[in-house]
Amino acid sequence: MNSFLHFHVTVPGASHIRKGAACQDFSKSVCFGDACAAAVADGHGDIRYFRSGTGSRFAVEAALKALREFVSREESCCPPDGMDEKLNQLKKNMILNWNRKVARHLSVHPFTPDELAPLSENRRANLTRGKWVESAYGTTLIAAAVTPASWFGVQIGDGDCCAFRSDGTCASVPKEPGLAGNVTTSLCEPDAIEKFHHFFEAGVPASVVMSTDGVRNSFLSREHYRKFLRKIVSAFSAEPYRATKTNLRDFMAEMTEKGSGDDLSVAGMVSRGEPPA
Amino acid sequence: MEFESGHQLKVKDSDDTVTIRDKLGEGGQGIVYRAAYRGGEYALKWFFPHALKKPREFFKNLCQNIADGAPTPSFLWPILVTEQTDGSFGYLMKLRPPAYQSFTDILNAKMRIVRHSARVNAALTIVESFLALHRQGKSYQDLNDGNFFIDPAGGDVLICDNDNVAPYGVNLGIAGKCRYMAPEVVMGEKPGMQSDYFSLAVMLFLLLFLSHPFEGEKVIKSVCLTDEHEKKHYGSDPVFIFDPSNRSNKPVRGVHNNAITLWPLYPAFLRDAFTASFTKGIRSKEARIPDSEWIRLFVRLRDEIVTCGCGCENFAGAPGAEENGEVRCLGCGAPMVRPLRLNVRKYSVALYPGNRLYACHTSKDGADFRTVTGKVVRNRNNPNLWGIRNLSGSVWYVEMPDGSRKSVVPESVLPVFRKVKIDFGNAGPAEIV
Amino acid sequence: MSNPFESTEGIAKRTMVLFFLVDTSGSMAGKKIGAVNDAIFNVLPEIRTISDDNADAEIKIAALTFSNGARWLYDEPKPAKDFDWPYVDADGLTDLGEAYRMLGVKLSRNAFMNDVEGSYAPAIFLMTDGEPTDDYKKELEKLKNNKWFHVAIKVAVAIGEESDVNDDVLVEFTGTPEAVLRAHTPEALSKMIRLVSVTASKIGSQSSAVGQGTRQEAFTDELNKQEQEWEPVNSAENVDEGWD
Repeated sequence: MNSFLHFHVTVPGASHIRKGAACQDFSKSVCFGDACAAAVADGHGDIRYFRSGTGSRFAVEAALKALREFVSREESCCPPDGMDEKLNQLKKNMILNWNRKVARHLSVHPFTPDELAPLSENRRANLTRGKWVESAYGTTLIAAAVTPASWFGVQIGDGDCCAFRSDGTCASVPKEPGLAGNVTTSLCEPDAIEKFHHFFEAGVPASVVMSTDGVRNSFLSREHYRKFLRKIVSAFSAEPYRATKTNLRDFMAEMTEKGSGDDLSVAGMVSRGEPPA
Repeated sequence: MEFESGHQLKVKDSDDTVTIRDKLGEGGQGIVYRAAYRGGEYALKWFFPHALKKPREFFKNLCQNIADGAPTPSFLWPILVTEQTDGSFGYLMKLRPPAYQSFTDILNAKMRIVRHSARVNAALTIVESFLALHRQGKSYQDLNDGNFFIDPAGGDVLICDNDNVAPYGVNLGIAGKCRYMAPEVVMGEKPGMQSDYFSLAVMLFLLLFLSHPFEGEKVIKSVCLTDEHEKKHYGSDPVFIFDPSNRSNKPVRGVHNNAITLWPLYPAFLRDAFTASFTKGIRSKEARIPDSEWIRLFVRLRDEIVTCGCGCENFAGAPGAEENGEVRCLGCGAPMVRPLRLNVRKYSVALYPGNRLYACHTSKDGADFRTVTGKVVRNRNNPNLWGIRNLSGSVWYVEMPDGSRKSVVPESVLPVFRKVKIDFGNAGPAEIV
Repeated sequence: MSNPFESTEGIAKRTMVLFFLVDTSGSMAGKKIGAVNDAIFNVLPEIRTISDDNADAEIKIAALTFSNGARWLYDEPKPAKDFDWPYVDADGLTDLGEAYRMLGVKLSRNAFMNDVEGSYAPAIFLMTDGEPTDDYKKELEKLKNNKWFHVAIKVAVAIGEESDVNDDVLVEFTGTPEAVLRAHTPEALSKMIRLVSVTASKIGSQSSAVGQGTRQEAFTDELNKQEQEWEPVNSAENVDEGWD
């Protein structure tokens, strides 16, 4: 039995429900062998990024596919040196996987006049010519994996990914500097690889939790947000899995009402050992 | 095992000493210190005792290099070697001025070379240095981006880490970085002049396009790049990212942004040269472009640079910037007048204010691409009237379109009109078209 | 069994802060400052409505006046429903630089942007009629390095005749000439204040956008659309009216 349990929850944003818009977040978590992985993605949502709901699903799928293969090679998880190179290759592979899914989808479902009509002339002309088509699927992406020897995470765009160590301290995947307000970087940008960050640590954490930005944006401060994450972790450690997941989902539905109104996703992996302090 | 400040080392075959000041840096092979010698400040590289695979040969080679001297001033060359002590030795060289940035930093976009002219200048200097090295019968042996330092403002180049330079056939036991090695060398063959040509092509491609010629989709298909993969992608099965007949390794959006945006900016003749180097040139060593040909190509590229009023440099012959036959400035988008050209020998120099003529254009000395012999200037009273000022030191003879002839003495200016013919002396026929 | 998450604390709506930077120098005295006072006072109810209807974000307002030096009306941004505009007087110089400096101090997570992690990008509305009298360029340069300023929607209203206001100063602030509006009369000024506040509040609380500057674009697009709804005043007509 895997020493980690994994979970993922996505809840559509209250404001999106009101406007009749689809949920643009996607999340998934999975185990392969003695390793676990999770990913969340947040599609950008406005009329310019009109297929970002599909884009976020592709991002999560592309990430987990890459992680499965990465983790299956023992040597990729252990050595501390050369890890930057390895994670760079991993990120490039994720971008490639996402590009391919987008291209395949587009070839089967070309842009419709309805989708293109609300756009500016410039953008419409570009998309029709086949330029910058990825932008229609634009999304952020956060993905992480834990193995018996280490954990690592990758992130492009806003959102958060933290690992709680057994001593209670926290390590997070770095974000692109200069992000403020609700401006984000994205998988659809031409220089995505430059803005795709990673973090790696040897040793097994007590838990790794990630969320799309709607979650943190619902809290008054970082401390309140962190407390929420710890609560999630201790609930999954102590209480029955199914009930905890349902409770979390119900609560997140309320949270988006009272908080950011945005789509919310939380995913992660929690050690089955002792619950953290 | 580091030296303290003040430590003294004896110079080989001399009474002089070198005094250590402080540590500047450290690499796999040894430590570099700042040192004082005869009242001046220098750099001293001291090798770790067991870092060299063939220390005796290396030492011998080093002494020979010192005796031969630097091939060109661009080489930061060993000046003297110390006595062997503590199981090792070191050599002295000049300090590198701070304006020069590591090529690695430029590749990682920590520093940018903004102007085309600076980039072309860097390319010419790098090729020139290879040429000089080859003329001495030597080769590089450990080529990588860490060896080259470039001043981003003007494109001047300093080549460092020259202790691995050795005559052809002499193998000092150094393995270069896979990325820069010719495929046959990756697969185990000994390096030679033609493998240097290949490495040179890779360096130049990196300089211009900030992207590696063999790193595209094929390379990132695998989540993990093992040593086996490296051998395949650089050795047994390299595919050029812009290979017109094999698109399996094309650049990937989001990852290889530089290749995608920069490739279309350059004139076709240059792109064709790179394409030939990285398609035919993989298997066929004879198809590789030698140093002298690269120089001609980059002089030709330099002839294409025109500076817009906004200050941005463009290529007059670049297809990417053209719409309706017009060249648009990459910086401000303003349309740029299609320049007239001076055709002389194989060259076609774009005549735009600020552009220069060099000795390779105006004299028989086809190799001198540095001496300025002419400059395109604007007439103060009529800004649409341009001329070429004679800076060559000898008289030029000009035949105007109406048949009349005049002589253009040094410092004076000949007008730029279509069909003007110029006799520079012994460069052959030249005409403005 | 109760939901263990019910006791989670600290949940709140995102905030969007609307900044008013108001020139209260001597030349604004009389009809101009009267128009500003009137316009802001009258637009508040509308902003409150937008804030209430907008379940995504709470709109807060922070106002700074500048003449000799600059001062904030309140210590912290106030929710629209709690913000009262105290009619201000006009007298003194035009210390735009000081206004920029104080704005920069507050545009930080430790100050006015601390409310919720990842507040919406703010909207900054500058209203002025004349040449700055201090070294404002230096302060503007510093502001440009502030990441909140960078992503903010910026708009400037030039109040008065062509000759009075230095357009360049305003374009430097907004970054684009399209976000510089001109008000020749008190009526136009009021309309403009209303239009800008309302549009900024709407656009400001949009969902994520990729890359900076896109919100500014969306804002000016929207503004251009709306401008067609009210006729711009023909400056030749009312040039003698409206201003002393």
